[in-house]
Amino acid sequence: MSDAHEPQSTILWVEDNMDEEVLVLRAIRQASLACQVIVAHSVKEALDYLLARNAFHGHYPGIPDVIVTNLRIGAQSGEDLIVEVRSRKELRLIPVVVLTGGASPAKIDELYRRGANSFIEKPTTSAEFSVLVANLARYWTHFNRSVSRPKRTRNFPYAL
Amino acid sequence: MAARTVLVVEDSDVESQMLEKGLRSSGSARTVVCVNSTTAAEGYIFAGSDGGQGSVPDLVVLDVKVPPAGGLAFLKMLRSNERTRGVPVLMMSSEMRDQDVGDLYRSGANSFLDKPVDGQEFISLVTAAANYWLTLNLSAGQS
Repeated sequence: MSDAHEPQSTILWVEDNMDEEVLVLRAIRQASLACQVIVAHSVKEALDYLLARNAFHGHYPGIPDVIVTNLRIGAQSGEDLIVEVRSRKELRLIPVVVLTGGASPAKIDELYRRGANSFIEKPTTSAEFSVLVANLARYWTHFNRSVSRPKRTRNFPYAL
Repeated sequence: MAARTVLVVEDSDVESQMLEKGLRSSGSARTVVCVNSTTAAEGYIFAGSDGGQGSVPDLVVLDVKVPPAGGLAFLKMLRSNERTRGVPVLMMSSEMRDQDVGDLYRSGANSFLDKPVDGQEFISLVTAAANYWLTLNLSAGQS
């Protein structure tokens, strides 16, 4: 249940695979989390959203609580997005979670150096993926406090 | 699953006990080491009680106001050292202004949690956080 005094949580989810987009939206809906998910299908679209430009001009929905990004998004990389976000004063404090499959330890290390807050290996089955998505979303929108929003009220008891 | 060690840096005995209880009930922390100062935490990680190389934990739970250096200074020290640069650091406090939370993220904190006033709620939150950071998250240098 969302608290009337608390703004709704927002996740910016960066993923170009339509099947996974469907799974993500369904998993979060089924977990009954009071959060909205904005799906960006490219790094450019994610930045358009964050900077309220192009398609998002005049429709600025606010800084998200967290950005969740795949590593491979079309021709670009989630790493490019991290670099862009961390280099902009108005965006640099947003937590970024990388959710991807098959990254080498060296790549994981590099992602943290670029400023990722968390790295999660994508599970292989869709059932595991759905559970993971719900847990990830719950942690970053209900437990973690980011700078974009005031001190939160949480729904107790917790489960993760 | 490999042994997972959590270093708790918290000067309040009551909160330290709740942190330990929350971490242990998650089932994902095999070893919980509690210290009550940044000096002791530095000693654990870098010097080691046996005078050896010390030990780098899998997760650091760090109180923002822990003496003598404070959580922010200790976080900066962890991030400036090659051995501890990649350790996930979860910071907690009971009263934080937004700009101070910003300083934590700017200095490399992975996550920040407000400490709940209620004891059961506190323990439950720590359990959920331990499950996230010890079972879902993969940190740098962890295969």
